[in-house]
Amino acid sequence: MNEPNNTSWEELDKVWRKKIQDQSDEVPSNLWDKIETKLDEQEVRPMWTRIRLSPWTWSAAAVISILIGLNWNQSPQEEKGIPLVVESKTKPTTLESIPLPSDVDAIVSTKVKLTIDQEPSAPPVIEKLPNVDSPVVEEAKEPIAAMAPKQENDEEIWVRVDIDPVEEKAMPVAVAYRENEPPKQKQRGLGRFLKQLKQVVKGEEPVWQELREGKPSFIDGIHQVANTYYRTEQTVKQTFQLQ
Amino acid sequence: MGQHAVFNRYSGKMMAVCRRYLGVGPDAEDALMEGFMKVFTKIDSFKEDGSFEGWIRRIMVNECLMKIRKQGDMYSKPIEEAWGIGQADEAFMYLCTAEIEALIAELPPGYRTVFNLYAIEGYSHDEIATMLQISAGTSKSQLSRARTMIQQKMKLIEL
Repeated sequence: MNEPNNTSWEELDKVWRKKIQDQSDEVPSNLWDKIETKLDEQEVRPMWTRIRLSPWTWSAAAVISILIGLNWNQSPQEEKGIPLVVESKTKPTTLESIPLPSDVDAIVSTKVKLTIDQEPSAPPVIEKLPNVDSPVVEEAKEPIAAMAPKQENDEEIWVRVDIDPVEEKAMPVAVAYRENEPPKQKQRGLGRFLKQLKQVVKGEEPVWQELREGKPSFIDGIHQVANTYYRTEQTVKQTFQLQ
Repeated sequence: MGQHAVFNRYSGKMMAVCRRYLGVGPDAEDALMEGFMKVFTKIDSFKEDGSFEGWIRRIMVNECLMKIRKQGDMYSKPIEEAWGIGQADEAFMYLCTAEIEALIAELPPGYRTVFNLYAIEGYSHDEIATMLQISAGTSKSQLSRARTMIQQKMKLIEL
């Protein structure tokens, strides 16, 4: 093979370089508009796609989002428009709450009608039940309805009061729950998850099955969170590839 | 607006760069557009130790190379044919810019790319090998072929 004599070519390169490097061509008039549009589109992009974070930060964010997802998935369905039903069972703690004649032995049932109107401090009207033969406990001398003009929108709350002398020491019981709602779990998802984690830290074997108890949608939730994590990871990878 | 000013100042020169690599057509315009998008979005990475125009030019050249790379392998030619090229004709020195551009534009894409990178941009064969993901020998081969072809074309013009 012969070695090429590029001396003159090198000189020629310099001459041509000098001539060409400052050469300018005409640019299509709409090119700037296209660039401007693209730049605007980039500015509109969500902030998180433009944030440059380290992989550790993204990983931490993903773990936090998984935990939040688990907790959200396990939380009771609050504020979802389910009508609240309040059932009130009131048992007087002592007989002093309603003055009774001393010779009353039998169980006395009364039906108390509470009428909510303009005067909340007014005493309630107490009606005697028709099948009760025992003495009337007490009747309001003047019904509230007679004191104030009755309104159509008056709200009535009926409270059944059972007076059982045998269970004098029983405390008042009030139970509030939502219709079609399963009993509230004692420990929420995150709490149970942390409990399992503590077990792992102590060296005991965790019972992951507990996390799924009472929540058939838990597995779906896990898949959703996992998919979100996977998509986030892909986005991060693409971002770093572009950089 | 600063971006528009930068575009107005450098777009003509960069259009010439893109057309020298990709020819007159939509590819050159696309490369110019993508190149300016990178200029505006990566302006933070510009270090002031070099010239701003040189930085923009490198971005444009890279954009052009990316487009050329998509066109496939055009550098796989035997190296042995590269050598044995004579000296340049003195007439080459007096060619005007338009004639030089026309000569370069007529080269096949592979030759044209290496010739542009070596003769016009001033990159070494090793740098070109890295940029095009070919060997330094292939880069030399392509350059020699490009020069041979230019010589042949000049002879045709003189005749």
